[in-house]
Amino acid sequence: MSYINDHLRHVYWNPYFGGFMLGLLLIATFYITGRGVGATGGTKSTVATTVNAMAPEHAHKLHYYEKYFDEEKNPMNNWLVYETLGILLGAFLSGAISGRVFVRTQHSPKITSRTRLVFAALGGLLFGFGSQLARGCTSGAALSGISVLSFGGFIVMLGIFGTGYLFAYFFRKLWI
Amino acid sequence: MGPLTPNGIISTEWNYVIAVLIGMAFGFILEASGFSSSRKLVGVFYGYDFAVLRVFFTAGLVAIIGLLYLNYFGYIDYSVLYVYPTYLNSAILGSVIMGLGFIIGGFCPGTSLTAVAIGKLDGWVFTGGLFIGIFIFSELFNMEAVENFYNGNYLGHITIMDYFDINPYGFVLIFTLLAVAAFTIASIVRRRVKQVFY
Amino acid sequence: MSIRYIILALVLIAVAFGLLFITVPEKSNQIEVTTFLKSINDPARFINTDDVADRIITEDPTLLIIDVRKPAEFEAFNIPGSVNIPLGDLMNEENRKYINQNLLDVVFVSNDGVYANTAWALAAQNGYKNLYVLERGLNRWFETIMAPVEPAETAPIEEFELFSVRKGAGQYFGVQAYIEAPVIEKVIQKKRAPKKVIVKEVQEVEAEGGC
Repeated sequence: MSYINDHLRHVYWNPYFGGFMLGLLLIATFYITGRGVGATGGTKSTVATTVNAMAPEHAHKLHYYEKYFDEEKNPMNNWLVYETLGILLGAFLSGAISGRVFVRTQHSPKITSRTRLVFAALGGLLFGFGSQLARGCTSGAALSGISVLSFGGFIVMLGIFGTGYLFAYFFRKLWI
Repeated sequence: MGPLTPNGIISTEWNYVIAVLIGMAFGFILEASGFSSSRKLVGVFYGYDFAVLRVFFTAGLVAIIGLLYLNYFGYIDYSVLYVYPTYLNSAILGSVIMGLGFIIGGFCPGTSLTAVAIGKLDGWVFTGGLFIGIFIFSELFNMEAVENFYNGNYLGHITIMDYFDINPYGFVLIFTLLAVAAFTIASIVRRRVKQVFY
Repeated sequence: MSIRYIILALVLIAVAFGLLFITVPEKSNQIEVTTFLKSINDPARFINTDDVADRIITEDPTLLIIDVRKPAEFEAFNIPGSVNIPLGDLMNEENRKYINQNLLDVVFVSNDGVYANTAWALAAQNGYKNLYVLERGLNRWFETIMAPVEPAETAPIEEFELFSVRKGAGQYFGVQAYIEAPVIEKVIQKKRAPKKVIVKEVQEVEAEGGC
């Protein structure tokens, strides 16, 4: 059993097949809803709700949440929140089928898992900030953007990967 | 004909069901392609694993070409589709910050969610970081300078064709050739770079 | 490199290459000349006054009447529920969205149909769908709906039936204005409300964000 697990754990789809399926999904999403997929929108709604629950007055002072509290709607009642739940479910399903679901921290052998977690938090913070500034992340802005040949989508794609390559050298110790 | 929801063919009550289903497919594909592993994702920057490049560009090409064909055959109204708007300032600075976050944190938001689902603690921490980053942004947004920068250099919901005034089909062909060239180079590079096992 | 990947790459390039041949450049929104000429001679674009009156009375929500006369003329007399867009302003950005949609049947109206036909041709050239012209214009509307002529004694029974339908319609549209005035008011409001909503709906698609 453990033999099968060890083998399956790293057996991923052929990347071209994965890309093809993802492309079909994007087409289907545009065909059904008229827009692409997203990943940070649901997170943003959650942040808005949390701030509102902890400090409602403060939340209403923030311009950035204006759209959420304007009509007294529940910000969690949002397309992207449901989609995010779907992402978690679907990923769990895929992981469960291939025996990849268990608690661990993945890191390069050269760094401790503590270092990895600190940098993961820092990276997440930067990514969260950047995604709000750019109005979307790799999925919502870059991938969905280029699907309809959006000019901004291409800029975000080049920006993310270009910066990644530019700074890759400085953070190589974290990964290789 | 399509898109179905904006044209009222599917009623809006189905929205959330569809959202969950699309999300599930999205999460499944990302996880099955190995995007729940940060070391696999980051491999694209160090040349030991090009899964990101392959999946991303294949998906983009399939979607671009597929949508153009669907538009041609009249199954989808291209003009109704949501085009991600271009705000030059915020798109450039935002994507640079995101690129930095990517190389430091090893995930992007969608992939970190798949890592959360299969129990990777670094994914959990990254997602926690996302929340804090979004919170910080919303706090800073009350400053007028930030809001002005955020809305600066707005070009509208424009496409590549609008900006460069070119024929989309020629552009797509060139983009395809570039992507195939990138795939080829990637596989050559990968053979030369020292393999990393993760 | 595996031969399979080479074949897949070639297929991808071929499909992308195919795009070059399938479509006219998107930049030009105008339709082909031959299609346009064909549709010019197609009498199906005319809709007669009885049908229009019937659809107004049954409160058909898919009907959008656009009056292309001058505002002063429109003020003097108009079909209840019609929208006034003078011919010269028809192709303005903000007015285009009334015409450029697939949800409503657009009926162009002018005094005798000449201006309405021009409006129709302008819109049809841009490839817009579901366009109609009120046959013989408001003159005919007046003759048939507002002041129908009683058929001769010897006329067939259908003519009499048509006459009584038209008379009923005329009453609905306020021939006896002092009695029916509130009804007209109601019609105007009812007709206009859904149209605005629909136009907005089309825009809202653009406003929503992705990620």
